[in-house]
Amino acid sequence: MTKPADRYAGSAVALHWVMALAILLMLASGFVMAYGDIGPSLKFRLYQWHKSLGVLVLVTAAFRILLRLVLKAPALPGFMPAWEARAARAGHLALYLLMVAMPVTGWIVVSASVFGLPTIVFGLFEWPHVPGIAGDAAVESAAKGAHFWLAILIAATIAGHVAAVFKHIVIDRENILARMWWGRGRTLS
Amino acid sequence: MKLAVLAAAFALLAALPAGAATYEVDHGRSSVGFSGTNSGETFTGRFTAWTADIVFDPADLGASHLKVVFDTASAETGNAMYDGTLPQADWFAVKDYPTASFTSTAITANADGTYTATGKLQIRDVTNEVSFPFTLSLPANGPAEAKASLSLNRVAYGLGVQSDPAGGWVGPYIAVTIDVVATPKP
Repeated sequence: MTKPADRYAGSAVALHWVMALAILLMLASGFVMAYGDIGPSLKFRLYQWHKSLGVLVLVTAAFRILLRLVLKAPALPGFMPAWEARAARAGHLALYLLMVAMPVTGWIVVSASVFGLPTIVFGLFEWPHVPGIAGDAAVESAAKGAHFWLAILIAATIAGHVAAVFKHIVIDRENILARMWWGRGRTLS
Repeated sequence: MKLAVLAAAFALLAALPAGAATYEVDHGRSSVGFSGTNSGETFTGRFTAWTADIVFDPADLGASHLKVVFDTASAETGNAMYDGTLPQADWFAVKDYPTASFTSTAITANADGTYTATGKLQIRDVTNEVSFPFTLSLPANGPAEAKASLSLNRVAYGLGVQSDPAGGWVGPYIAVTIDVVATPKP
């Protein structure tokens, strides 16, 4: 009866879903603005919006990692075999690293860009550039490549993350999603 | 009849101020604005700090001349993103070129009552000759007002040639609108 809670804390749940939405929006806007057949006006706005949301993702990711270290995640459910637990831990670590690496490489692209356009977060305040790399084409090019490949990687990792949830629900018949939702008491018996 | 014409001509000459007058700009009523496009959308801005030395005499255009000096750091559009970009090295490069200037070499009268100013326009390290018409109202009482608009190719002045030489984002042509109200110095 007094087993420890197996849910994530309410604040962690909120951050998870806010970031899930934000990351999906970032991936969608990123691919559309880079490869979509859209006019320059929409493209320019999308770039600025992507930069603004990217700043929020970076700040939220930092806060989320801090929270994770302070609150600790609930133990993985006992029904998972060892290989699954290892894969889950590796996947979660990858997601945490990628949710920081994505905005950081984007920030470097913007800071090194020959355009030199400031980042005005949602038109409200200016987010500074990474100092010392303004107009550096080599840095911009390297960061752009990294930003692209990390985007592919985070999309693949998210796909694996979601596939694992389906596997637990459909095959294992365990409602693992409840761990990442608000509620009281234990999710699994 | 001839005499009457002569008398009228003399009367007209007498009414004009004798010699070339030096004018003082009323900055509160004058503006030097610019507009262009970025990603197909129009932006407008203005220079908030500039000075002008104006010597003008409609009866002696040869003695008339104009020199305007703009503080490049004073260009503002009201859009924080553009205002953060304009002073940078690829645009006005305000650290290296704190001023831009126009120095007239000739002012001529046109048949339709307007004038044409020709002179050297310096922006960054580029100086090109430009020529543009302007209208002038010179009321007997009250300040004079000159208006002009001209189109400048930013690429020809080295503006944004690193970022966007082809004008894919920022259109190459920048419209400059000048409205100067000035009074002769006593």
